[in-house]
Amino acid sequence: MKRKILFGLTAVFFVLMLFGTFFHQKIDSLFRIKVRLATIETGSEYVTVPGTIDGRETEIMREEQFLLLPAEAVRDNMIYVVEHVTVPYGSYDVVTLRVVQTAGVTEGKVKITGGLSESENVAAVYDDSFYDGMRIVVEGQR
Amino acid sequence: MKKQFGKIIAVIFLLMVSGVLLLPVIFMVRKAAPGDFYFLLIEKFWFYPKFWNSLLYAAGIGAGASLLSLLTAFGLTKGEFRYGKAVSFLLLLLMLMPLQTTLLPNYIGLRDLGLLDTRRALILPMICSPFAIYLMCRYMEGMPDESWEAARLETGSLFQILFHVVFPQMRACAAAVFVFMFAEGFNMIEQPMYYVKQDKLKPLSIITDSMQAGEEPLIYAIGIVCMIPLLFLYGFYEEELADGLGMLKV
Repeated sequence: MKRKILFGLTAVFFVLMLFGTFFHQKIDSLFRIKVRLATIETGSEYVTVPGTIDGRETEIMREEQFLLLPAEAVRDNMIYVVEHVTVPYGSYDVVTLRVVQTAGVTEGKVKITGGLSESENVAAVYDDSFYDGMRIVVEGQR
Repeated sequence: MKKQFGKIIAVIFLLMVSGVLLLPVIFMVRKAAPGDFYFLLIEKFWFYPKFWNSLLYAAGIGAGASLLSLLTAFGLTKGEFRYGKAVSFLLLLLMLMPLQTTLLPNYIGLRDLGLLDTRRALILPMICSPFAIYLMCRYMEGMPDESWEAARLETGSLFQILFHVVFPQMRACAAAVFVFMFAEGFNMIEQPMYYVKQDKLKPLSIITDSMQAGEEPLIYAIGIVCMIPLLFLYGFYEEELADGLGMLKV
């Protein structure tokens, strides 16, 4: 009888371990904050800047590139960038706080002139519950 | 009256020894917070691969040592081997040697065989355990010669004699050796530190080596989770353990 009980307990333990081996990442993602990614748009505008042509000082036009982020994603020149971290035996997503250079707001979108590249991912909403290095789940990637 | 007093003293002494032996376990259970288990079993990616590594090594060492020691003991005790007693004495000497003295020769041997940084580097040297062979020899010496001689009259096949006569009689001792070697394999520290360099080959017993800052409290949770398979194994083979060790006094 004792052996049967012990055998049963051992079996339960190993089944749980096997379950954990294959599904622990999925279980973990159930309890993580889901983060929606912001759509980063690119834009450009012509600005007049002082310059010289043939030694004569004048105003010249220059095309300036910038990125556009939803206003909810930026607060006090700070955004949360979503990064994919690879560690031994697995990988996960984290949000990291970053300071960017902004240049005003147009039509609900903030112009980002520096500190961010188009290929990066940004959290769509700057949430107070976030903190630097926090593990999250990107919505739609679970 | 004197006998009663002796018994009481023995019980008190045993209770004290049990208490001392249980102290680390109690300390570990008290220190482990429920959150640590969640952190370990759900959030940490390294736990499961290392746990299965430990289990694989321990099972391989346990099964291999049982089989090898059984065959060696059979040859030494039942075979017509002139220097059997001398080999037994050498085994006794080897048993007394600390593990550290055999680490370097083993390392050189594994290096020359090209086995360093492989799973075999952790399993093979542990299979050849003087303790397991010694225990098996002592147990086999108690095996009646009549059954062995009767089997020899029936068949000339050594394989059949082993399977039908020796193995069934040695089951208890083989189980005891399996449990001891399993525990030794599950808890080995020095061998994985020196024989393997790749992190994916390392067992859970040397997890402190690769732990990051802030993960230290997890060590208590790891200790408790690692205790569970060994406790089940000890409970399962309790009778065989007592039987196998009981023969050592012969």
